[in-house]
Amino acid sequence: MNEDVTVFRRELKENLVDWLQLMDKTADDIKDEEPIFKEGLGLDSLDAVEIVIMMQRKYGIPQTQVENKREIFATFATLADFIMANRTK
Amino acid sequence: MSRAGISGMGVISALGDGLETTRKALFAAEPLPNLPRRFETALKLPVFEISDPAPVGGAGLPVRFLLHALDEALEAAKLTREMLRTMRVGIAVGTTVACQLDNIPCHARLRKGDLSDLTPALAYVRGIPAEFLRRHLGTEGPAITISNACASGADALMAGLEFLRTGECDLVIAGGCDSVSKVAFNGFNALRVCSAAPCRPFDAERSGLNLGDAAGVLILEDPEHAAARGVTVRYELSGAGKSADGFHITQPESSGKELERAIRLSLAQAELDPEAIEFVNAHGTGTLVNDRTEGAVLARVFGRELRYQSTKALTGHTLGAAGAIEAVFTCLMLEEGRAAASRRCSHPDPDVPVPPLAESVKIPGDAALSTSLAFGGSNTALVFRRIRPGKIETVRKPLYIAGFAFLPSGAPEREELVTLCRKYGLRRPDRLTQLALAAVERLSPLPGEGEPDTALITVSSCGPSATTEKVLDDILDYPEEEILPTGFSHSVINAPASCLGAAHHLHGPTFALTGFEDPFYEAAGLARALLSGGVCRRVLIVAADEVSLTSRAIETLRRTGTPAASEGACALLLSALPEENRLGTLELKPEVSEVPRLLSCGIPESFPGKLAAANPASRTELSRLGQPSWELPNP
Repeated sequence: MNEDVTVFRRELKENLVDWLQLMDKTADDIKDEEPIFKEGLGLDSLDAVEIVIMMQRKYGIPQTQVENKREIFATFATLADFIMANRTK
Repeated sequence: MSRAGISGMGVISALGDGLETTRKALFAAEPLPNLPRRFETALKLPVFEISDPAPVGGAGLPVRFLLHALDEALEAAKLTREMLRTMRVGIAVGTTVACQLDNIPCHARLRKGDLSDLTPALAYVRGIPAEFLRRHLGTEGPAITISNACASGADALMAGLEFLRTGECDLVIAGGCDSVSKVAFNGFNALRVCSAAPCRPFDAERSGLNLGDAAGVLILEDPEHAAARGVTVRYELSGAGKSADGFHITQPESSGKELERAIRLSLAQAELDPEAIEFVNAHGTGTLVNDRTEGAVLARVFGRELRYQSTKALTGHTLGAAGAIEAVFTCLMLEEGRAAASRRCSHPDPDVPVPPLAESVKIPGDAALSTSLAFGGSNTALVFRRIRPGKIETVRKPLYIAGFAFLPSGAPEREELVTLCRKYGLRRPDRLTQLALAAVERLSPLPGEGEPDTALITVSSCGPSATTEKVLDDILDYPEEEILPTGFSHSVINAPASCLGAAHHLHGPTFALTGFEDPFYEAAGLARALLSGGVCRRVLIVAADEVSLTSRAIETLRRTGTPAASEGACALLLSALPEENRLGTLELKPEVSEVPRLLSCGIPESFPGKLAAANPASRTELSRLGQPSWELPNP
């Protein structure tokens, strides 16, 4: 994994903890290949909406580009890779 | 001890202004929602707005609707202010918008440190509906403002019923009021429950709710009490049932078992079998989840003979007013001997076992049920029926203190919060919930946990105000975008109650109270009515307030000599039975003065949550009631 990816994943993990105010989690608790929802990080559908909104605000990814694409949210790594590839800011 | 006869009603909604217009419109009219007129928005979501009533002495819009409905109800009941001042009058009002800090321009100033115009903050403090009515009418009895999201109006009626059954009051003014606000509008959109078209409750093609303006008021009193003024009471609120899913902050529990329990409790209190219920005025919001769950439960309780309608296609979802206006609609249908059709349900959802009424039908009997379901799985069912002769005998019972705890200064620290979140499976409680949770933890193990007859009353002056301010920041900073949904769901006054209920599996009645004039005292009064009336065995009262820009601004409005706003929480567990605990067995005598005595000696001067539980006004009031007769040890 190149350094950019490692740095970005770290930043995104910290952002997720901050955006979603995860009281009992730190960035270190988020594993790259772990599912984000349910059995993984335990996020729910409202969290998904929240992540989509924050992706638009922080990384300039329009909501329409993300809606109904569940595969983006399969694991933390798929989400991070999608944002890296599509961010406009 | 009194029955809750209905001696007067008043109503205003998109369906009509006043009882007579509404009575006709229920069976004929079909108003349509329009895009909001009162505020700018990029969202194309229709709402049921009505014309603003005339301004009344500093009252905000929801309270103006309430006063409008109140005038009609008082006139119908042949009551004047002078007469009310000679009675023990209770006031119970449900609302959401009237007790949310939703003034966006004011927040825009406050966050820049501009305290030059605090008129909106003052209007907020003075505009808590029940307290406003008590000052407006000059009465002295209990005045509780309930903000249990969408069940608030029904809960106000239930509180009124219990105040009468237990002899706390001679007469209760109960109702609900709300108006479409930009914050709620954005919030419900963020939760993805708003429809871009006129709502279609119970229809297979339904796509969500429309918000609406409304207020409804019912005057509740014993028929003999009303007869003394020459007023004939024909219908009564004869039963109320309330339960909590104790499941999630917004989502209902999918089996609906707690809703079913609430309905059965209301029938039991009314001493009626399901077969005696002619029709149900359902909550029926038009959201996918609500209608499916509610429809299944109604079919389970009432079988294939079930007749029901949602009136929200005619009024929109009027949130804190809904339970009150739908109580009025239910009584009007009983008076007419006809149950109205459920509108805009042209293709009933096949997943709902029994379709709602397609046409209005004559009803031979004289009893009906109205349901209200709220955020956080708070379920309320009310039974209305033609009045029967007879008296209710309720013995007022002694109460006992099963526990008391308050947060020491500086608590809870982060480490404790992380432990609590893990213990109770709460991922991101808002600050007010954190405070409440930590206070309750000091009663651990909590007697009554997981039991269906433990009630929960939360009390706060400003509610989750810091969380609400984040929602306002969102609206100000991203005017063209959606707001964050969890910010909104955590900003409602009953968010801590929903989280506490889920954490401790509390399935009894839940009430979230708000106010600035001794709300803790009011909560204790409500708790006593619930316990005396046998509605529950224990009541957990949790008072909490947090620091926010607004709470600081409100503090500057107070007279000098008060300390700066600070956060804090305390928890008081009352029981209908003696319970040995670390305080010993303490009996709370059923005289009114004992409750403030408890509070005045139980809460230390340094108690940090003074906004909710120990504000200077309260302390003056409390000192008038005499010195405490015993002392509680400081935990």
